[in-house]
Amino acid sequence: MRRPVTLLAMLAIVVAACGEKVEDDTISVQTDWFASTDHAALYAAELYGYFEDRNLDVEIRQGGPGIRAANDVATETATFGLALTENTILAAAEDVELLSVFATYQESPIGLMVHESSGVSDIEGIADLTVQIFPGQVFWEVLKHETGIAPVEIAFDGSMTAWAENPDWAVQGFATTNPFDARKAGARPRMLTATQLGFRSYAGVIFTRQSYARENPQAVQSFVEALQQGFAEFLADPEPVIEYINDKVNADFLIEVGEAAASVMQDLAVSQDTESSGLGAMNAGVWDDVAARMFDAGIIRSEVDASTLWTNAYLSSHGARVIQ
Amino acid sequence: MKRVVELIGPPLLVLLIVVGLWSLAVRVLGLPAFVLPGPARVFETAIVESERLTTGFRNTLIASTVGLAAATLVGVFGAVILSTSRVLERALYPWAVVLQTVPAVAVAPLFVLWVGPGLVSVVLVAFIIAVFPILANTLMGLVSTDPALIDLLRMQGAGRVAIFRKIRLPNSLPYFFTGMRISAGLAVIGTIVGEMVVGRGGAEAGLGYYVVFSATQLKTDFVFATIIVSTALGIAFFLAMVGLSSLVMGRWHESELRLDR
Repeated sequence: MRRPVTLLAMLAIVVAACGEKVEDDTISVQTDWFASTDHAALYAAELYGYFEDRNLDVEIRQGGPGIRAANDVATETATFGLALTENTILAAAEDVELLSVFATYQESPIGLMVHESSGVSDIEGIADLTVQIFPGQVFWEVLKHETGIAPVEIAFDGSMTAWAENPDWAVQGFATTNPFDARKAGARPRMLTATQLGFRSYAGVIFTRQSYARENPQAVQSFVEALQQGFAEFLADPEPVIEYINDKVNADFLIEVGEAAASVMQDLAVSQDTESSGLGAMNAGVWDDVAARMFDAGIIRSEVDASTLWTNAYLSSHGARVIQ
Repeated sequence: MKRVVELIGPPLLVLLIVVGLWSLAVRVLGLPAFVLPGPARVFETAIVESERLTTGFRNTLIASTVGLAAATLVGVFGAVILSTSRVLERALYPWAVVLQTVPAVAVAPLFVLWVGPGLVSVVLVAFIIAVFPILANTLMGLVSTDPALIDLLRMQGAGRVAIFRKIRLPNSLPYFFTGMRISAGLAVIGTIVGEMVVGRGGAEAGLGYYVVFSATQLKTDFVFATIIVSTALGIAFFLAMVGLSSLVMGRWHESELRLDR
């Protein structure tokens, strides 16, 4: 069974090299949530035809509650997935071999949102609050383990309403969208990202199965280049992509939310690594640190060699400057 | 002893067959553990996570018990009230049906706003899901008495209270316990749903909280362990109702007598 698959993969590479379609099958991408600017690289590449330019037939599937992209990729329901660094490490701990190839965010926008009036600005301050969070969030479990804080926790139901009514609550949020929503609802939020709280990881990480990457290197290369090109286009001029997402993909994602998110994204998406290796770049320090801390916190039961879980090999170092 | 073997033997045999097939399927299909962990791995995980599972079991047990107790009180009281008047029944019963059809997951966030997160909100979810079978079945029992028996008591000068105590109440008991058997399982389900959406973490975390916790961390074996413990709790609740039913009606009602079938 393995041999025909390998032959097909080789054939695909040859075909791709000749400028023909890389794969006969559609490349499916499972995101982690409903379409938003957090998936801008994907939708920009779709909008501007960067996938088509590379003869890639890409289907982007929106995520939502209960969707776990790592599961879908591991079970071959999707070709690529989008999630946090932690998800790839969790999967590796369960003997699922995924490979991350592009990081939308150099610093994860995930974190805790507090009220300005609470005066809280660090993890120690969180100890005195009630924390509304999706059970099992890795950054939170690691930080609790390392600092020893044990605030009251409540399962997050996805609604910010209860948080808005309680000034001594912190709620899980995404720096790109939730503070804007909170301000619009009349609250005065202060967003503390996981990085600010002491846990840096990547977010909007695109990954695939290691076996798929081995068998379809040209497809992965082309896909990642399209993402880089799309993301660079978005960062240079977010408006068309925001309008595309709102108009064609998810009408619930409002233009004004997209504009607010775009203004935050520039800082989160660019780093020294992206300057040298192109948009989407990652480094070993972050991966090793996240994996080690997850092990120390008991989130994964066996140590994971993070070096096998990511690569910058498919990035174009000119990725950040394709458009500029 | 023979009675015990007769009771638990057949379901235990089915359990062994299911576990055997489950184990075999994992080996033959070569499924990765995160898709379908084998029984041995789930058991190992249950040992490793025994502290969390114990905490979750205790908290879910408390919330389920309180939710079922509240559903029983309101369900029985409501049924008695509705049985006293056709007009009341017509006016209120449809609203009881509405309560039954309310999606508990959707209203749970409102409970957080109104009564705060944690036990009270979780109990309210359990209550909403569990109350209707008790109310509907008890009401059915109260109003479906033999008219001839009521006429007989009336001829002897019995009032409404005496008729209720001697005819309607005993007649409703089998129906009530049928409702309780259904609601016992539903109370556990409601509690777990509530814990998933509005439950507290840490020392107050219930099994529902740990279902989400383990799924977020891609620990399918822990999800399975939590589900098995939850199921065991649901079965324990059901059996408790069967036992209670037997205790109350064992000596006089045909459904509890050991008749040959």
